[in-house]
Amino acid sequence: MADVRGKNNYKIVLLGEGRVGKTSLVLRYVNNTFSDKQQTTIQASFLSKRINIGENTCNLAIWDTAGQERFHALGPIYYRDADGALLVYDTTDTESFAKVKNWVKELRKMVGQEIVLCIAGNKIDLDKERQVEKSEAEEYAASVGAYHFQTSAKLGKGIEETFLALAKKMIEQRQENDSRQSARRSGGNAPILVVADDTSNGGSGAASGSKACNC
Amino acid sequence: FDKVLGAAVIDLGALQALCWSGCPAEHRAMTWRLLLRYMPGNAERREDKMNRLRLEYADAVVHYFDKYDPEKASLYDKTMYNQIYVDLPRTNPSMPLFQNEQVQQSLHRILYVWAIRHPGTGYVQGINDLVTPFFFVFLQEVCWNGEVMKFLTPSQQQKVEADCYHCLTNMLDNAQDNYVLDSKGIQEKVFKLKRIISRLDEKLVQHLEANDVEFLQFAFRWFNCLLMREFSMECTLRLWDTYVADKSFASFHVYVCAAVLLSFSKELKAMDFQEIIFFLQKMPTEKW
Repeated sequence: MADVRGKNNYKIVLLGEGRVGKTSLVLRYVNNTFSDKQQTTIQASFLSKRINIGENTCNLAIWDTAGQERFHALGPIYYRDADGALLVYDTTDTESFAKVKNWVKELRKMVGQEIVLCIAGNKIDLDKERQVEKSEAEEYAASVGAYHFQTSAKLGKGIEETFLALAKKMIEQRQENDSRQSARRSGGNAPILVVADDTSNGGSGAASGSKACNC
Repeated sequence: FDKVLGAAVIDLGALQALCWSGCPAEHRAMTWRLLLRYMPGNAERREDKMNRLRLEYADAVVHYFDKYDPEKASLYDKTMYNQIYVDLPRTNPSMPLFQNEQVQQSLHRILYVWAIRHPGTGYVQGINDLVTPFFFVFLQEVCWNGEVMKFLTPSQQQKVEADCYHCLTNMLDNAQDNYVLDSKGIQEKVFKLKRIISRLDEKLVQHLEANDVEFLQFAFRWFNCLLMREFSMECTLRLWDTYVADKSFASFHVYVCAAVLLSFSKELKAMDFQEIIFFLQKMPTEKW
């Protein structure tokens, strides 16, 4: 599925267990809206957003998939050809974090190393009920070469940073793939995937300063 | 309708033919119960059978739902119970009725009992949508008032629930393959939809393909939720009049989807991938 295979078009797929807030994250990001009564996603829905990174305008084509396992049989039509994946878990639910690990395995197996992975722990507004420790999640993300962010779709925290980091990395990855202008800056020793540490207030430092692209 | 429904032994064939073209709201509850083969056409046998089936549902609630214990429940039971529970506030959120706590408890019981009794499919997201027209219709029969739930007696509520459960069961029995593990039924129907469109409007299919739009990307939901997410409740009720009158509604639904898609053919042909997907995800059907 090529989508609009424009040069500046990047495809992102959102994956994660049901009700962790995948749809809410995207809606907050794309429309800046939030509802705690978000209808369940059936199969998948599509959203897009144009962003400016440096001089480049790029279009993020985002597939927000259904969380219920029942719908996963058709998962490949959404993550195939994806430039990046945002794997979402609920910080108040350990099982949802375990599901993220399954997704990482599946993606690495089915899509390979080139897809940029980003893990988001959502619902940090419910900090009192937290079950997944930030350090644990960060450690895991680092071990699989993924970014890690903490977000709250409800409060609008950490989301811009998450997508921005993902977008920058996807651009970088594509540039590497195209192997044009091979090293405008020494990307040579940068790891393929960078785990950007994020502070719980939404994260400013590491994310925006990540070794992303120079465009 | 008055005449057909008033007979001592209702002619279900005649009722079917009438209902196919739309049922007046005041007759809908009874007509649906009859056509879904829940209520017997023979007036003499009616009360007995209804009482028995409603009692049977009440027993199932006590047995499965009231005795549900997260400590002892099997993984399947637990998954179903919790999945349904988290989906309740997210069921038909545009209608205030379904934000009512009492209503949500009813839906929880109905859907959980349904899931336990249908281990071959289990509860699939979207079935929570499909129970709402029944609830709406059977509730309206008891009480037309907006503040319904306050005035509903427990026995009335039990009746509404039992009716919803049985009608949902009988209706979905004809569409079970939609909800099996790999959604085989839906995949087949989406494929069939594409074939129909190819025959009737080849240019549209070519245009969609040229833009890398796959039918599964937009039509899956149309089948999973029987177009409920695309239509208003009013519109859904009218469509369901036809569906309850037709045992093979699940196949007929493919043609309904085809008609919907074809009605937007001209608009779609002028759009690119992104515009097409956006359009089909949120079709301008508010005024239908």
